[in-house]
This record gives sequence, structure tokens and C-alpha cells, in this order.
Amino acid sequence: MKKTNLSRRNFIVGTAAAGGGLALGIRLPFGLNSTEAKSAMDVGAEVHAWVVVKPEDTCVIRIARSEMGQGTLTGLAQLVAEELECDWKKVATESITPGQNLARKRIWGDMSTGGSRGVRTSQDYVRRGGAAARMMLLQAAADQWKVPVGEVGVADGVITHAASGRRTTYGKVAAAAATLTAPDPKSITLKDPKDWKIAGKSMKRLDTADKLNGSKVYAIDLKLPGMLHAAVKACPVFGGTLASFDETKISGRPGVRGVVKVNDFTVAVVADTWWRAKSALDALPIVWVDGPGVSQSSAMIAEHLREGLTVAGAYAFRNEGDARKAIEGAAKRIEAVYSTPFLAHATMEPMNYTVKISADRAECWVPSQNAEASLAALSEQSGVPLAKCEVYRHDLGGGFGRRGGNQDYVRQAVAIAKQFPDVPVKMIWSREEDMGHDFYRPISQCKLAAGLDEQGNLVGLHVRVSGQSINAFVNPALIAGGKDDRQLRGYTDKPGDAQLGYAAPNLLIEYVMRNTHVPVGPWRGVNTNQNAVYMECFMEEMARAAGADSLEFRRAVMASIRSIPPSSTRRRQRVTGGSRCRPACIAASRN
Amino acid sequence: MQKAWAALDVPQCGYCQSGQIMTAVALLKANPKPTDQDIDEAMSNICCRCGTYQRIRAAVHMAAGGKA
Repeated sequence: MKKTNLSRRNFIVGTAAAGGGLALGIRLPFGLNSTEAKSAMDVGAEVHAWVVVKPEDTCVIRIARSEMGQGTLTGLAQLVAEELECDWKKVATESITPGQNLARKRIWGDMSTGGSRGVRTSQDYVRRGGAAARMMLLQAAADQWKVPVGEVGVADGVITHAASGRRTTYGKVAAAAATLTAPDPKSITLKDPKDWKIAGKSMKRLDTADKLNGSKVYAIDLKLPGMLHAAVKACPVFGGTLASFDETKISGRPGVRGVVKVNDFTVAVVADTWWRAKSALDALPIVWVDGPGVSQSSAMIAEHLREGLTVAGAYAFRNEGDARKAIEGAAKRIEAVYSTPFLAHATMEPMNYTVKISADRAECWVPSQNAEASLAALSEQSGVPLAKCEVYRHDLGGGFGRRGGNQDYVRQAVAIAKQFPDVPVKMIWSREEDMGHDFYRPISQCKLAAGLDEQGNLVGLHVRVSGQSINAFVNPALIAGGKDDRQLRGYTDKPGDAQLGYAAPNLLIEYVMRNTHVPVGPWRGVNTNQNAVYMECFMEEMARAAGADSLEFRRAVMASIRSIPPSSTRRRQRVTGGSRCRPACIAASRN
Repeated sequence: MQKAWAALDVPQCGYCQSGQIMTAVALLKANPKPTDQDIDEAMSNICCRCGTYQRIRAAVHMAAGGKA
């Protein structure tokens, strides 16, 4: 490894000078005494984009994905630490910002966090990042001792040279390591998972401490000097618009600074406290144009979907054998119709967003599953160029898919704050607004029919889902030729998390799109969630009709999978194992 | 109570946890050895959207000096 030019180092020094951490400061490891904690606040040396090492050996692991309770932050840190061979007790983390990621040509990759992909889609390159940092740290020690790097070993961040008995630590060689050129990621051989000591193990989460004493600052808790507060109200009918409002009725109320038309269907009141803004908004006379949505009712929507259960021309997603014929000729026939409602994400922390817009700078503080999308929305809505925008992402008080693709709340707050240049404005949705203006899990109904033979074996299964389409609402281009596979996740034959674990000798799975005026979007376990409920409820119906044990019936249906995917054996074992541990599970649930 | 919460890694997103801990402390002051049912009743007004209820219950028992 050769010395590199100093441009990267200069960049790091420049950013570090801004305040000892890229974004919101660093999470320190547990159990530091005050001297260690003070030392840990030293800027340290960026050995590699993913790893900063401080003089007292704290390894700060950079995290690109969002933490919302799912544990991705700790999981990613474990993967980096495994390859880094550092002391897990001295691991700290810091969140990168999308502005930094953009400035460094997305060196930290994709920041979006959804669909259970936070670890899956970045595990390889974060491990390579940890390995690269380890190699550079060992090289720096070898250079210092003038020995071949192959003679140098490391454990828990302590580097040793066995032949001479010399030892040093990551903290002592980090500054030298940071001047080396990183190895080509492709040239790195990663550890075999069977040798893992940190990754894949059940480690204590790194983000627990400040959740236990009230000190954690969620975006909704943020306080900035001179900050104003905004409360918003959107048209209570989906698709309706804002006709007018009479701000003279509330302009004299204490603390009220203004009323803002946010967009075609939303109005906001800005005040010196959120409660004053919210109270004034409640008192504001608003005239809405309800639009056609006002004539809709739950009963009408249910009927619209019910028609779809029997209508001709459904999209046949899977058609194996002749399910209709097999069911018709079966010794025993079973049928059931289930439904699942629109469902709000109901994140415990309501939608909120703090933003400060100046002529040449826009900054925001946001709970976001996709901080880069938040950056793009901030730039577009404010008119401030991307390079002059920055997003400080806070850990989320719940995400569940609400805070990813839809940056609606970001756009709203930016539209409000544009009316108050140079002043930070925090917008918070009331709980009512949050429940009433979500992008809901789509409503659907499902009709299932099955035929059993004399012995109770499944001979044919017909599944039809009738319901609203996420893609039709968010991105119709994703629906190729009217085939909206996304609404049938959980029923695919492709191995993976959306796979149907059962098979039937004759199988027909269909979808009928039945859209409504209600906004919909991805909701935790996107569509697999409700489709699995349908299937499992019906499995139970079939087992009972067959007079079979619930588990044995399912095992038989799994065994009949014809094109056996690689995971099917494991699946079967897992179910059997689940049966064996059942008493323990029940005991655990009572504890 | 905080030590029990830390020992069992109770929080997920954490947003509700301050309220959970405060309520659990109040419960143990009034009832030092609560049963599962006592805990469920005392804690039922605080929602955890992540669903950490099993660990919350275990942590209350641990803080009460009983089973975890």
C-alpha cells in the first residue's frame, strides 16, 4: 500500500472540524468512565469510509441505514466489527448524512431502509469495509516495525508481532493507516461465517442506553433557537381540496405567526409553540371541496371488492394443472372468504419534520427510512440546490414503511418553512392527522376454494385476491401488462421471503385489481402479511375438514411441492422443530 | 427497573419506553410482586407499536426479583 494524496484526508479534517461527528454525534460504547468518554470525543482518524478509529481505541463504525427499532444499526456494526477484528466493547457508531454521501459519490451506498433489506443488501460491502480497515491498520503497524505484514496478527484491536513480541493497538496506528490507499474491495477474502465471533451472534444492542432514561432525542423532540412550530390539517376527504380559510378569525391569538396554504389540500398554522398552532388551527374556519370521495362508504368499497371475487378476466398469477376441475370433482369441497381492512402505519412517533431554509442553504432534521429521498424532496421543494441541502437523520420512533418512499410530510414542512426564511420550523402532525392521512395498507378480500380426496389429501386449491394495488397508486409503470404481482407477495413460487411454502397438485392463484380513492402504500411485510393470514386461516379450515392434525396437514401440503426449491427441506424442518418446542414457546409467552 | 430493561434489551424503537419504565416503577411501588395479570393490567394503557410486551413483562418480573 502506498501513501495516497491528501485530498481525502483534507476532506475528513474539514468535515470533522464541524463538530466531532458527521451528523448527530457518536453513540459511545457502554461503561466508559469520564476520561475515556472525553477521549472518545476526539475526532479520530478515518481509516476507511466505514471505520474511524480514535486514539484510545474506540472504533466508530459508520451506519448508512436507518434505525427504527429493527436492530439494523447493531447488526451492521457487528458485520463491520467482525472483519475489523476490533474490541466489540469499544465499538461506537455514527450515522452518515445523505449530503456527505452525495459529496463522496455515494461511497456508503444506498441509505434507504425498507423491506427488511437494511442488512441483506449491504452486508457484503460493509464487511469488505471492515476488512479493508483491518488490512490498513495491520499494514501501518508492519510499516512501523519494518516487518512483512504477513507476520503481524490482531485480536480485539491489539496488533502483535509474535517473532519480536511487540504489540500496539488500533488507536496508536490509526493516523498512519488513514494515509494508506485502501485495498481493492474485490481482492479481499472475507471470513467464513463459521469462524464468526461477533456477526450472527446475539449481541446486546448498541442503541439501548439512551432509550432507558429519556435522553434520546427523536426528531419530534428537537429544539432549536428561535424555532417556530407548525400544525397542519389536510382535507378530511381523500381527493378533496382546500377552497378557502379565514385567517382573520385566528390572527389575534397569542403566539400565532401565520397561516399557510401548504398545497392544494392542506393548510397550516405556524405559532411560537405547537399547542398554540394546533389550537388555532382547530379554530380556523376552513372551507373544503370534498370531491367525489365524499360519496364513498366502507360498505360501497367492500361491495366493489366482493364483485372482484367472482368477476371474469382475473389475472392468473399461478396456474398449475386445472384447479377448478380438480375442486369440482373432489370428494370434499371447502370455501372461505376473508378480508383485511385499510391499516394505518400508526408509528408511535407521529409524522414530524424540522427545517430551516435560507437563500443558499437548506437543512432539515427528520425521522426518515430514506434520508436520500428526504434530501431530494428538500431540494426540489425548497429550490435550494442539492449540494447546499443537508439532512440530519434521527432514529425513528417507528417506520413500518410510512417514512420511506412517501416524503409527503417533508414536502409539507418545506412549503411551510419557505414562508419563514432563516427560521427553523418544526411541523408535527397530530395523532388524528397521522391516522387520517396515511398511505394505508391496501384493503383486500380473498376467496379460497379447495378440494380434498377421500383420504383428506389436498387435490386442488384456488386463491383469488380482490383488492387495491399499491403500484397503481404509487407507480403504475411497475405494472407490466396488467400483471400486478406485488399484490400477491406471499404466493410466489420463487424462493425467498415472498414464497408460498405450500403447493397443491392443481393450483390457481389470481388477482383482481379493485382500486379506491384511499391512498395506499407499503406497510410492513408488504402484502405478504395479509396474504399469509388468508392462507394460514384456510390451511386450518382445510385441516379440520380433512380431520387432520394442523401441523401434519401442512407438512403433507409442503411435501407435495413439485419443483422443490432449495429452501423447502429447511422449511419443513423448521416447522417440525416449531412443533417440538411448542410447550417452551407457550411458557415463554406467559412469562 | 432500568437495569432490568438493559439486561433484557427491552426496547426496539424506544419511543414508548420511558412511559413503560415509569409505569412499571409505579406498579412495583404499589405491588412489589405482581403476577403476569397484574402487569398486563397495570401496563395496558401504554402501547408499544413494536410489540415488546413479552420483554416488558419479563423485565418487570426481573426488577421485582423474580423470574425473568
